[in-house]
Amino acid sequence: MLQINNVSKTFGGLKAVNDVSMEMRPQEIIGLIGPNGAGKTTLTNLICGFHSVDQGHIILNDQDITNKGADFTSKQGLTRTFQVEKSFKDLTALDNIIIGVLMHEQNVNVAKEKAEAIANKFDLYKQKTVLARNLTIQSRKLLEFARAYATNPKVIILDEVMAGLTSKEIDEQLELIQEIASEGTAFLVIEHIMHVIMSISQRIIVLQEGKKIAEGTPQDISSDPVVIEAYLGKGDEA
Amino acid sequence: MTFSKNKPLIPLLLLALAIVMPLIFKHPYLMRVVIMIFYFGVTAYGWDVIGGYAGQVSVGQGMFFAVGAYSVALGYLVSNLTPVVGALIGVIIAMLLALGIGSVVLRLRGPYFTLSTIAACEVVRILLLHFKEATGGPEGLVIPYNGYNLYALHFANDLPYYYIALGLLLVAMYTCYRVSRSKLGYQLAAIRNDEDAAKSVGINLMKSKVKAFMISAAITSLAGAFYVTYDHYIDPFSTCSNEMSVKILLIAVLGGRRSLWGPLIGSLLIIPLMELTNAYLASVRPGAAMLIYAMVLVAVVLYAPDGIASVFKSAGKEQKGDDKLAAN
Amino acid sequence: MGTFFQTITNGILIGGVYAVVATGLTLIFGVLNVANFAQGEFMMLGMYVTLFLSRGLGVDPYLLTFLVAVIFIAFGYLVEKFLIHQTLSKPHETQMLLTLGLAIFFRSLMMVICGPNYQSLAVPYRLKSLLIGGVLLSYPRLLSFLVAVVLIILLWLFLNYTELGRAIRASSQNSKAATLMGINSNWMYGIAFSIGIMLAAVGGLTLVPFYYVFPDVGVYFGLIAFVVVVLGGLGDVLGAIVSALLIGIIESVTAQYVALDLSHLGVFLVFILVLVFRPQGLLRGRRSS
Ligand SMILES: Nc1ncnc2c1ncn2[C@@H]1O[C@H](COP(=O)(O)OP(=O)(O)O)[C@@H](O)[C@H]1O
Ligand SMILES: [Mg+2]
Repeated sequence: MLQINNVSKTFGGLKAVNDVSMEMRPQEIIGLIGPNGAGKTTLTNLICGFHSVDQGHIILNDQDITNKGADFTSKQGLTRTFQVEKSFKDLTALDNIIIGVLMHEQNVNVAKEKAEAIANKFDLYKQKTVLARNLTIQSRKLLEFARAYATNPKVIILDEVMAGLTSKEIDEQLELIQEIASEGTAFLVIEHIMHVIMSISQRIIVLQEGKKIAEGTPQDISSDPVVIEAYLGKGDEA
Repeated sequence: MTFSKNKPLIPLLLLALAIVMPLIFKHPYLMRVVIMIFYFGVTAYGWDVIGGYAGQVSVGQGMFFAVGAYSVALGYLVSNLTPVVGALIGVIIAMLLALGIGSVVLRLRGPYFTLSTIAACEVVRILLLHFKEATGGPEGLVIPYNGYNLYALHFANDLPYYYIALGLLLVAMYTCYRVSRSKLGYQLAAIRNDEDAAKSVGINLMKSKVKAFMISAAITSLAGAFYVTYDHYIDPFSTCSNEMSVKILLIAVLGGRRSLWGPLIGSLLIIPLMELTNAYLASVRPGAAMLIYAMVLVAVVLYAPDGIASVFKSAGKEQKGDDKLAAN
Repeated sequence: MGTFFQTITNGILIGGVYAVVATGLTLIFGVLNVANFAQGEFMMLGMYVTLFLSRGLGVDPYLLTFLVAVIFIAFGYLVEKFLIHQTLSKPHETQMLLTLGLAIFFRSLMMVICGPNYQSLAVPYRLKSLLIGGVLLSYPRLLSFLVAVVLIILLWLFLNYTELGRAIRASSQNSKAATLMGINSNWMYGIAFSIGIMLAAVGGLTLVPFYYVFPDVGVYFGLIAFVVVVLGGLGDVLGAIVSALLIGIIESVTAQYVALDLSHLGVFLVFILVLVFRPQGLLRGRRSS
């Protein structure tokens, strides 16, 4: 469904993403890991059209969407959350979600109803009239997830949404991701907490210094000597 | 402070009052002032669409006002068009102008848009002054008044103008209200809050902002069309000037951005004050009125950024979440 | 041909003033990230203060440069501390509305104090000029240009060879860098703003011997300063100087060869063309994130 072919991005001499290729199928949950500065967020920016790629192609359902701009890419069904959370601060939680729904919905009242249901699904119903700026950072990240889901996307990229959650909250969120995936949406999950990634991903991609150094099932990855050398070995297992 | 379902009474009472008042108090000067309040209110609602909801501060609205006014005047003088048609032509030209300027400069962030609106207004005025044969240059255009003439919208007294201005005000208010509750309104709110996040939900920033600018231009040009029909006179300095653009912005910002009543409240406060200072101070001290507004503007920006409407609002009952989109 | 060189020379001479005012604007933008919509009005105030002092003291305006500079450094510092600073953490909109409010305030204040009439200062050399190679260099314009050049050289020395100047430059590139250099950034905001204002005021001073002084005189100059800054690239002092001279030339060529009353139009048209065809030039340097 989604194909990333040999994309690269250079920031003034630094190859932030270097010749990375990958593929995603519907319903699939893929983990993207790598040390800080490995290029995970940059890859997200490239896939979703926030940065233009220097080289390579991004193809969604046989359509080339390379460098078409983030709004266009989102409309095609590729959306994301932001590592540094970007909720609409001066709007209520519900309005945040409504704006997501409105991507494919013309009628504001219908959008409102759909948004209420989504708020419920994401356990944000009680906070629906609270301004986003008054929510906790974790709730805001969840709200971003809900907003992304509200656009009815084919792929959602979650950039470290679970940082700072308790393990109970993490379990709830993993369940939510799996439920949404089973409805047909694919996920690319960027997360530092290793057991989370291991438990949820069907496949894991490892980035280091912009390059893809490994790809495989969680078992493959956890026993891959290159990965252990580059990443796991450095004691990130928390 | 909206047409909320639970209390439509107050707006309806106000409307009834506005309709009945001129029939009871027949005070020509007062009526003139109220008419001004109405059409400046219209310009402020126009401003609010782009400056408030879209968050793009325009300091060039005078050019749209002038486009409306000159379209009516020239349409009438050159082709004997009724002001109604002239106004519609003005709306179209104003929207095209907004489309042209907007699609160039709304792409850029920060103050470029503001600057370009200032510059564009200057350009339009320079052109109006330069092409004297068509526009009358600095002397402007006079529409001869030969008594009652429905086709030309010339009336014997101000009462019909009062109702036309009131009608335009309602149109402007309603348009603003609809925009704020529409899909476009949500998109503008998103853009105002975070452009990247707006893109991530598929919002085409340019398209939404340009749309807002065009609506804003259309509303403002209507006020200009009314102005020339009412005053029978127009010149570039009193319409297409930095002073006019600033006045429009002042009314909207002082009254309160992104609120249903804000622009009207701004107009209610500023226009009478302007008239008073013009009447009593202008001959002695030109600029006194503007000096007062400037101080109020600075104070509002620093201490009540949501305008005077927000002061009323917070005095009222606690706001419902539902109203937040319009209020913020 | 003689007319042509004369036209170009006139453009360059007025371009010096544009450069000074615009450099002040770009400095403020670079350090505080504030678009100062009152820059032209500070220039206008500088003109009035020069006019009053020169008349009151009977001193040539150019000899007042230092005094006017000091007055406006102090004034700028206070304006930053008590007004601008309050809004630095707020949205851009707020700062813009504030400086816009200040612009209207100063304009109407001078209108109230002095009335709308055009005033001018009679200097003995007002109509004198130097003839070099067939080109007339009017004394006051030449002096204005020289003061502008000296001011810009001094600014350049300050920004490159003093610790404070370097900190200001660093902070205009990256506000964290300055903090790392151990410079109190609040203080630096005040300094950068007051220098920016001083440049506007002294730019105004240099105009007084050959230009009319009236409350709205700053509107066009403020706009020109923005055009210059945009063309030259934000926060780019050298770019500002080059484009200021260019704008001066465009203006004077339009006035000479198209129509006198369209001289401003030429400048705005170039501005709009740049916006259309070279927007990347505008974004170069800063504010892409
Ligand atoms: N907009 C940018 N400009 C310049 N460098 C950037 C930009 N975004 C990211 N980088 C650099 O690219 C590298 C990868 O960063 P990032 O994608 O954020 O890594 P990760 O998300 O894996 O921690 C880092 O060295 C970072 O400094
Ligand atoms: Mg990251």
